[in-house]
Amino acid sequence: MSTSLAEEEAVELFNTIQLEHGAAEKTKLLKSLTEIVVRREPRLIDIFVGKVLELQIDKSPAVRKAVLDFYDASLSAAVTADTLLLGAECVVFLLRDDNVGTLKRCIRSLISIYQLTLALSASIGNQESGEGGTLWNKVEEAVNMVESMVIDENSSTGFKLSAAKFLEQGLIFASGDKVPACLPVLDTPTSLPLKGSIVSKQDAVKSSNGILTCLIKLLKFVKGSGSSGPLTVSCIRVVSTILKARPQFAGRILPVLLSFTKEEAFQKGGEGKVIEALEECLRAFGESDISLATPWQKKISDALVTMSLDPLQKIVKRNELKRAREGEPDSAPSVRQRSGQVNRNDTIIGEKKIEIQNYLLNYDADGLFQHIHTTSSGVIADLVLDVLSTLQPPKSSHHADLISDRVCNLMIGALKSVDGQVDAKEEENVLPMRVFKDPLTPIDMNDDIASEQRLKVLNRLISTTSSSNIELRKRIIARLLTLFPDMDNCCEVTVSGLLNDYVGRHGHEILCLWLTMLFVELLENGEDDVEISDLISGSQYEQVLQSIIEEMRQKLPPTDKSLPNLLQEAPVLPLKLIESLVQSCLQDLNGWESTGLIVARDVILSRAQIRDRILELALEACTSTETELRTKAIRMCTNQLFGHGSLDDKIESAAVNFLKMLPTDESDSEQAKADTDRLASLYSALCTKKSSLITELFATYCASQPAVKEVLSEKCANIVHVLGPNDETLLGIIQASPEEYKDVIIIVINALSESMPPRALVEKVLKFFDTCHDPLLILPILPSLKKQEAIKLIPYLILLPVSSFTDAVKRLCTTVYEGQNDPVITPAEILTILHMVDDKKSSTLRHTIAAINVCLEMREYFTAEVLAASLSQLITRIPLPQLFMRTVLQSISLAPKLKSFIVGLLGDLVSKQIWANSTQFKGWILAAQQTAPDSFPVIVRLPANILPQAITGLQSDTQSSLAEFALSEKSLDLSDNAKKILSRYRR
Amino acid sequence: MSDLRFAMICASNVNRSVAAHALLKEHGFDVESFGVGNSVKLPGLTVQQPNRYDFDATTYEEIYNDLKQKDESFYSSNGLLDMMQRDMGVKPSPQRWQNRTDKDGLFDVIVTFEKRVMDIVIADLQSKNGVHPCAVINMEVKDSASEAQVAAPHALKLCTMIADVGEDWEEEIDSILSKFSDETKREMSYDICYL
Repeated sequence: MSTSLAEEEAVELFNTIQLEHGAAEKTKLLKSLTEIVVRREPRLIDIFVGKVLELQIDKSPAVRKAVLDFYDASLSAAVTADTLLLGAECVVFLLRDDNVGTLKRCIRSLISIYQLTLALSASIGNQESGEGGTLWNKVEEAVNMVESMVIDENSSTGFKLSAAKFLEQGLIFASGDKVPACLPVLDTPTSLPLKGSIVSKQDAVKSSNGILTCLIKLLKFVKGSGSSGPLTVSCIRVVSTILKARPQFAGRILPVLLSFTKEEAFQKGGEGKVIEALEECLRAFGESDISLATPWQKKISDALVTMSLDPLQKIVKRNELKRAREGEPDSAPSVRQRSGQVNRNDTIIGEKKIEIQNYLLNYDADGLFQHIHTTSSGVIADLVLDVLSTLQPPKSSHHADLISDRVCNLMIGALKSVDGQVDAKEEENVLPMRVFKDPLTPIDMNDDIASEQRLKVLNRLISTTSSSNIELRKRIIARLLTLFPDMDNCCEVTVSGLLNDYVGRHGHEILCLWLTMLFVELLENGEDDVEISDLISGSQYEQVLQSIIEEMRQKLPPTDKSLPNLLQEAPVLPLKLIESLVQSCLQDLNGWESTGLIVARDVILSRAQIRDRILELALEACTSTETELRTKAIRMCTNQLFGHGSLDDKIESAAVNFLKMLPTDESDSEQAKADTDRLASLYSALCTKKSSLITELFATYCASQPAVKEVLSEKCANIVHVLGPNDETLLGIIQASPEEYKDVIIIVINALSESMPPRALVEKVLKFFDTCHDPLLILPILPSLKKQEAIKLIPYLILLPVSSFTDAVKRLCTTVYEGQNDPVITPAEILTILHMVDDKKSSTLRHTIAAINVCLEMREYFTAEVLAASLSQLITRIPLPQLFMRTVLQSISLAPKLKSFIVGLLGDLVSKQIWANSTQFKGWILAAQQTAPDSFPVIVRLPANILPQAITGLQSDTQSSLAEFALSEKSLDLSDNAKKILSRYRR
Repeated sequence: MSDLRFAMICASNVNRSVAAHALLKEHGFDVESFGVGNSVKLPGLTVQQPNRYDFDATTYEEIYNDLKQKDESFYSSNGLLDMMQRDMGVKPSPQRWQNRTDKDGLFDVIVTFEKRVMDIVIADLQSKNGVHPCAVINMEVKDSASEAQVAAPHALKLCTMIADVGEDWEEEIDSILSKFSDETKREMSYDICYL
């Protein structure tokens, strides 16, 4: 089939669908249309997708589903921001339907739209996209609708089941480092741009937060319902998928999931499918090698036991190792052994463990090396540490040194054995192996000596930088530290030692591992119902973290970001520690303020439990008297924190409170200005991100004293510079502002009009002008006015002070923006219009005269030619403008070369019977006087009955000259009466 | 009649699934049927020599002709030829569940007639990460012509009960299956998956 035929067929089919009333037939026809448009001629999709989506207004569920079927099929062939927007609009519309089937169908489309919108955004990066912002807003509107319906207990199970899948897919798509591949838009996983034209990274994080919150609410709902139905099973499977794909959410999901296991309905003997799903989910995460699973393994294992199920194998093995280390007989059989299932792997590991232990106890490095490659680092680390605890006590302090050296050498040797690289400097510290072949004789070793030995071991381990078995070294040090009871010493030794070469010695990883191990121990030993914050209060974990922070603060330069990086990965942060760290950094300055702010930012963004207090500190810094700190804090709050839905209200409200604290005392204007700058800067910065906030600033400006106003006016100007003249919210505010905002609006308009003001701004300003008629408002936008608008506004402009009016005239007559051909109006037109101003009021006349005077003094614009052009225009007016003759007289003196032109005008005025208006005629006579003798031929053209009045108005010598001229010039056709009159003045 | 779509699935899409398919179709249901085996496997002249045909590529008519040509009296007596004739009236050829395409559309309810088949279907659904919720219900039925004839009305009854509830079947699925099981004395199991 040719293309045109396909299109014709599709059009005909679509028309038939529109006319069809039966839902079944309509649905069938829509399927046929899908076949032609999507499968045969995808180029027709653009033409039909919008039209087909309009069929959503048909209330039949079958038709609505068929419409979405067409739409989804079209998405598999072609995707643009426009088609996604159309789909999102349709979904938002259909989500209001009561039919469960339609709602479920909407969810399917929404999943595609959500994924493809993110994929499209990742694919185009930060390039402009036509409907970008609108598209994401619409998608989020649909998502918000689904979220509120999901947690509504009245919504159907069917809908909730579909929506749970959306929550799973949406969260996975929006929360990863990269958006997963999504055909036909994205071939490979790609990161979202930081400032995307459709969706930015920040938008996606915000969206995923909302979805996760909703999912947790749904999970709590199904738990609360105690239902063992399909929804509960599906929700558990959904979170299981999420835990696998996004383990970073374990901290929010697992507490809820683990609480299921305390409910009787979900324990063994309860509904099989839910138990199965719960066990599968917990076991899959607990047994995984994901590092984020480690802190949860004990709790998961305990929960499984509560459900009368086998504990996690990882925990069983860990306990066996622990028992072996503590010298307990390995008699407690595992759950599997109890059930008669002896795991062969366990046996192999057990045998291997004993073999390695023997090598270690005999200091047989060679034997140990054989196992380095085939045994996990964690197991070897634990076994090496077993050596420390099972050593026979040394017989003297010298012997104690030998023992610690022996252990260190064994471990350092093991670490280096893999590639045989031995650093020359470290080689000096390694004692020859032969020394260790001596048998050991036990002696008493007091606590001090034991502590000293451990420190030596620690020191050695930290100073070695073997690259061949990094993991083993890290684990040994971290385990050793975790078992260490001498906190103060070991922290100092460790952190100092690591900081000597923080990167080379893997300081970050070791400290993270140490903290994680301490936290795991804390969780394992803590009561289930105790809050984490209570658990860590006064714990070894808290003490270690405090010591690390203090050491790093003392030893690192402020530019080093190791401390914030470490805190970001610490399993949990105690509020008091972080509060004190942030406060001290912000007080110290000298660069530490940046570290303090980075820590504060990370905590605020990722540690919800302690966020509020740290946010308060960051906000306080935004009004600091220290300019550098204040600037950095404001930049952080505005650019990095504002825009995360949950924080916005708090930041806004703090900024408003700062505004309320602006000085009211007028005694010290300099101090008032400084305080205003300090207190209003955060709010001003927020205005650049959310232009609607500027209204509050306008109101504050109006209610402020002069010194405060001066600073606020600068801030307003700076804000609108950033927002630009096309910001629709700002334009709306300008138009709708009350009259009392006039002064600040003038400042804003001036700032917005530094380059050519766009038409939208001009229109809004004109509307605001209608409410107050202050010509200063329109001054900045004059060059963008249309000629007719300018003409209407000139009567208002004449009310301006002289300097401003001069400026207005210059703007009107001379400013030509790029894209314009001519100024709004010519000087001649201005002069003409000024003469046409309604001059019935004396005050207006006074202003008009002043305005004309200003113009005539601007000789570079109002040249002789301009005057002539304007006068030529004016003379045609009936009646003659009141100030016409005045301007003629001024023109004679300002432009002598116009004399003959003006004489011509005088002649024309004779034809117009100028004497009929006595005021004008007086002016005429004066002009005739000033242009004499050139004006004589015109004077004598006056009727004989008017001539005496004219001659009387002339000076006496002019009178006689006129008479001489008239009576001697034969060509003049004078009446006898005229001659008679003139002869009276002949000398 | 609701807008729900049903799928009947057995091993070879010849006996149990097609018997149910035929009956549901006759009652106006939107229904399809599938098999999950590697090939369409039918009893042969000896136990060691079953007849094997490719899914999708071989029509019921071709199978009928092949069996007839091989031993008409034997395959008449064991009912296979009659079965093929019935199947020909339902659809052209046996279809494999795993080979379905977008064109086959989505299903709301999938009925399997053997636990092993149900497991294969669920594994397939889980591997494909779909987003449309569907119930996979197993009704254990022995693979013989007579058992299939008895099971088909039960499948019809089950689907009717679900269709009567309509789009919000998820709300009622537990009580429907419990009632159905009480009435028919059949052991039922189900799972909710995403297609």
